[in-house]
Amino acid sequence: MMHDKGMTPSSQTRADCAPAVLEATGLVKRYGSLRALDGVSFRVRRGEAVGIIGPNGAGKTTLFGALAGSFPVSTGDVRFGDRTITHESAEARSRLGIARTYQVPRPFLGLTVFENVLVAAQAGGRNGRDGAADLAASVLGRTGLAGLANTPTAAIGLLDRKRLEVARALGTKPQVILLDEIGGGLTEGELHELIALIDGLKAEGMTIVWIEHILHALLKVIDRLVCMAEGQVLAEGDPREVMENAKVRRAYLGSDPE
Amino acid sequence: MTRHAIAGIPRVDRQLIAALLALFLGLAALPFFGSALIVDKLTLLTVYVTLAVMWNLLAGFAGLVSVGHQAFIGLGGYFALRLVESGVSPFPALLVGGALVLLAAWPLSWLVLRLRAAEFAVAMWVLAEAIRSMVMFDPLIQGETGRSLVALNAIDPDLRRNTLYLMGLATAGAAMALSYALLRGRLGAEARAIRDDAEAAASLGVSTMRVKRIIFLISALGCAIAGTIWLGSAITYQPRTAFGINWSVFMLFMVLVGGLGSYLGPLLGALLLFALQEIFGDFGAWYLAGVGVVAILFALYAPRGIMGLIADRTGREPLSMQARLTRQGEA
Ligand SMILES: Nc1ncnc2c1ncn2[C@@H]1O[C@H](COP(=O)(O)OP(=O)(O)OP(=O)(O)O)[C@@H](O)[C@H]1O
Ligand SMILES: [Mg+2]
Repeated sequence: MMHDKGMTPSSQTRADCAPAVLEATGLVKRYGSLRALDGVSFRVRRGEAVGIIGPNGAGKTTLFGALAGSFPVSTGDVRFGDRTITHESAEARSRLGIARTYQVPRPFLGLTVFENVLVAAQAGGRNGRDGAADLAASVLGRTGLAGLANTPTAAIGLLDRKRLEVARALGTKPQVILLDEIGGGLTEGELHELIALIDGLKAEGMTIVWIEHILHALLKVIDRLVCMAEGQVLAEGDPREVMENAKVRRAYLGSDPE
Repeated sequence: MTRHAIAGIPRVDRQLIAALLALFLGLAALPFFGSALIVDKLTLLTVYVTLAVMWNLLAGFAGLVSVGHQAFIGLGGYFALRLVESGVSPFPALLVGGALVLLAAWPLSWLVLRLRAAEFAVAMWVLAEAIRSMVMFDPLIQGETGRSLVALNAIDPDLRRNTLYLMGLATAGAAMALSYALLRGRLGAEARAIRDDAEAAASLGVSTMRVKRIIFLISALGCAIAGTIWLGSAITYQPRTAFGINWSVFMLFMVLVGGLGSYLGPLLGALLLFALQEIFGDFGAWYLAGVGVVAILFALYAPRGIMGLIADRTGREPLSMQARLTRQGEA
């Protein structure tokens, strides 16, 4: 396990002093003989924005699954605030305030776009029917889906499905949002809107963890960067220092990842 | 900021509901002017409507495709027989016997709702067979021979016929009203979300087991009461018929042909099955062939059933359970 914790004296931000809101220790997730997570420790402080990068198959999405409770981990612990949630269900974690998006969108295809978010707003956001409709409408507006509200989800394209992933997660009124490659395929202009949205969430105090291959977008919003490879954390800390780390460069086959 | 809300019921739908209510009231008056034959036949129709509505709630909205709900039809009949045998008067026994299946459905739900879709379907069928074998062990049932609800024979035939008919009508009406209320509300959207992607629904905080359990229990109860009403008009209880896979075939047919996951589909499907039985019923095997041909034609040319055809033509599904977003004040 390589944490390279000490390498970031310059990354002291305001968030560094806050306690961890979500913290994983020694996570292992086995799929047969493969260790998709091989002793990963990860923490994010309240109000912090953390980026996660790493080559394909590094275990980034698996880490999100472990944090959000999508499947049980083989060993390791997950804590949220001051409670251990390792054995809590995905439903319970959502209600506690952890929301994830799916890298490959998983919309409810038989529902309209609005209904997709309404389900989240009622279940995860614990709102009454009117409050939920209002919240869902505002979230659809923020994610650029207002015009598609009453459209059947089966009729919308991949980019809108990715937006819907974000909208549904926001519908649960999360404290921590886990965003999995939501920027892929966007034009520069759309990327700009996405960054503005995430900046806005950050300004509201939301804690953000964002897996993204588009580094220049990621670097505009994050306070800290984590690089994973082969189920382990290769380096973490100040974004620029992590980018210059030799191990990180090697993980990207010697090429400049940008 | 504009306030948003879920749209109210559109005018067309309100008119449809009014028409259905008027139809219901008209049917409730049938015993005063209808012939005995008509009352008997329509009792069977109410049983079909209830079964179709229940199976659609389960499979069409919650994605729980069961080919074993005859377990509850047969078990409800058995409980009713047992109650009558121990001195309960027959009509209450039919309702209470039906309600007692919840005692079996509740623990079973913990078991079967954890299974994947295909496993669930098969497990339900296996359970139906297992429950049938257990019922056949009861000396009262005498194995394959079965038992008659003789207490019902002692009642005046007209009174018996009309009471059963009104019970059947009330059950079908209750099934439709209850599923309307549930599906228009939060539970309906959550059930459909679970049907489409249970893991994603759970990740948004939906209590997937709770939602599935509520729907499973309602469907078990509805099927059981429909079954006891059918038993009331058939009088003889034979395990092979009461637990017959035919029930599942009928439910599947009515819902798929009517329109899986639509609110009105099962009603139309029940009418179609009833009509087919009326037209081809005298031809024995031909009637089954007719049912099969219709099912195949629909599968090939109208996979979303009659309601799908209507929705394609009118651009909107009548009595759709969709929650539409509007600005407050708009219709
Ligand atoms: N359900 C599963 N069953 C078996 N293996 C899996 C499963 N999910 C993930 N894996 C494997 O675990 C490893 C990590 O996968 P993961 O999806 O977490 O990578 P990632 O870092 O998100 O990659 P990418 O950038 O391509 O999204 C991969 O080798 C993958 O094939
Ligand atoms: Mg991934």
